[in-house]
Amino acid sequence: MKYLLMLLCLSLASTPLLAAADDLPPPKTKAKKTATKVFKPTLKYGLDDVLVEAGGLPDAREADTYSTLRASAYMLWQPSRDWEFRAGARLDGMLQDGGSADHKELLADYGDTYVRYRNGGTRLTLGAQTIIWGRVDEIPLIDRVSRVDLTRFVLDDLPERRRAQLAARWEQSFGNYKLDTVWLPLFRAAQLPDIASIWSPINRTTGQVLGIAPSPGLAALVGAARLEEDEHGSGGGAMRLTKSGGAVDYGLTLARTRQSLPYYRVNLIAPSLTAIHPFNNFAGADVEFVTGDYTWRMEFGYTDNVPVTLQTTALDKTSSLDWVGAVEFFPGGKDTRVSLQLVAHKLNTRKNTLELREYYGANGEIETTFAQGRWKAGVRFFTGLNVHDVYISPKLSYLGWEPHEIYVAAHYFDGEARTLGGFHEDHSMITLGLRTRF
Amino acid sequence: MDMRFPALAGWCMLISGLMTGAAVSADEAAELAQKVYDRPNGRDLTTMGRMVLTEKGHAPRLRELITYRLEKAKGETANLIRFTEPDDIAGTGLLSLDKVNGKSEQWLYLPALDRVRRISGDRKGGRFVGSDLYFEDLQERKPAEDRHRIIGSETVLGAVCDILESIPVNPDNSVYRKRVSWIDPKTLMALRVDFYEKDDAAPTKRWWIVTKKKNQGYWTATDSRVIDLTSGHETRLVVDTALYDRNLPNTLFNNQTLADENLESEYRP
Repeated sequence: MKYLLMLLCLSLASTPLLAAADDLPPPKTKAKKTATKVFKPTLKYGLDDVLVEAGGLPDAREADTYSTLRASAYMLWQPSRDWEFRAGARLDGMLQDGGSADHKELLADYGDTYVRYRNGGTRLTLGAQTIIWGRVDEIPLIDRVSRVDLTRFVLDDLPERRRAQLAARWEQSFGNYKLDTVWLPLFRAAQLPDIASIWSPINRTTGQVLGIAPSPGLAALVGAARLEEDEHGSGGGAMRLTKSGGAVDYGLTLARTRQSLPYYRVNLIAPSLTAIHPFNNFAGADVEFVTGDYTWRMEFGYTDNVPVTLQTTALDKTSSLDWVGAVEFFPGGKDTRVSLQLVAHKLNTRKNTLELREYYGANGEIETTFAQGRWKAGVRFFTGLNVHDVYISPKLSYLGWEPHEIYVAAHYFDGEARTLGGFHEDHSMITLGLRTRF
Repeated sequence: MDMRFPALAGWCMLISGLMTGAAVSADEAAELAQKVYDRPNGRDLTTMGRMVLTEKGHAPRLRELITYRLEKAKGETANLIRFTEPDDIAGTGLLSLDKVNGKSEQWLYLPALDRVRRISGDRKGGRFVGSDLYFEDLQERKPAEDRHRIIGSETVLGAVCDILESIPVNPDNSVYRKRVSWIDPKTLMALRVDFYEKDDAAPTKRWWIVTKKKNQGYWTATDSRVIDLTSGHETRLVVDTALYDRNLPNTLFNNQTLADENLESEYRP
């Protein structure tokens, strides 16, 4: 129902509240101080996300079906206006069945669990938290301090593809400016699916690694290699300054962080693939403005110390430039929302790498509601412009049984080697699911 | 949104076949429209309310929300909305700054992303949270944007109303071909409004007041309805609490408050 929210505009306060002409002049304002209510401590709890989904995999060798059960619970206690305590936990279960790689898994993890203090323009948060920076949909470049959840690859929307991690966050507002500072004292790598899962970035069945050109040598290595994770140390820190409230909203971001997504370092001698997460220096700028019916969003980022794989499988490092431009509009001003994005990624190296040195693509989402908002139909997609790389996901949801959502969806992948669509081209899937909360 | 002459609030309905009386001068009609627009309405307003969406054969759906409005300097208006029900949109907020030139800047807060997004304020069609309200119904509309004429009078809720027809000067800036409103000249309240979308002779939507109450000297429509005359779908608008002139601060209407429900909840009734 995320983008049903985009239908929101102005208020029920705008319902008729009309002064009587024969009462004129109106009563004088008596309030000298704003009447604020006396604070009452609050305790809230519940299941804030439940997903039950069954999927069919017509082309996969690994399995015929892939099913998901996900539930997250929370408790929020606010003893005073200034203090807030939250505890969250989640359970992720999957069942992959009917092929060469049957697998089932149940994973427990913490959700957002933190202590928060706020006073005036200051907000301090310490604990496990999910922080998603950025301005564009799906792939914000500014998203430098979040922890990625790859257990379901791209099947979910962006908020469900991120997890909580330990962070200290200081948000300070100065009028229309906000400074957001984050320190990640303890690095935690992305939540990856089990190696047996069809959504793993390493496919033992085909001998491929996501993002790296396949080869017989690599396939042999992937089949035999030991998998290791380099997850020690701090995650780094970042700060983001944003300005909003005027004609143009913008932000500037500086970060020295480790990205949770892994880069696999190859060791041919003692066959192993080690997921590493080197520190990157990042500088980014973003802007958002409206012209007529169109909302425009852009992000630009420079990253150094980006690991790449040479033809010899040796590790090298370079820098990259990334840009995303997005437009969002409602054709005819009605109930259909269109969000389109162009992305560009360039590695600043002349060496031959196993990764794509340049990638240009488009992605987006089109969705519409009908039958008085009881139904929603939409499609998410991405496609490469300089390489063959396709993902299309149509979805039909019934929203009339609030707050539950019942849906049927399809996920179609296709593409050439080294691309996301190519890596998962045998994993196209049809799903039937229920999302809810209590 | 300024509520002095909102589409929802300011216009009465007229069924074509019931029109009576001769049209009076355009000047008089424009004057009436301007009076409704200029009516004092408090420096600020806070409401707690509900929208109940009903349709034959379906269970009713409920939206609960809290709204704040502030008349700022130089004729600007700020509005903040926070949804509290249902669960899947609870916490969602919308901030709107309406400029003197009729332009509106809007930001939407999405709790799932914990992100504030700018959205276009020019959108007019499209249903507001699945209701029978279009975005245009909730936006301020200046009297000068329409040509007005009084086309008769009729008694509504015991009041003899002037029937005001309003046709957009620029057809492109409205989803409606025209609106016909019943206005009580004593209170300058619109008691009913008919909305015409495709056919000048047949309204497609109707709004009317069911009950009203005087709060702090200001009349408040505490219960009103909008019905889609084609589908029969109905939206009931209930204001449970309305508080005027609480001296709401400017800081309530910025992106920081939009993104932090806790800061806003301090001002809830």
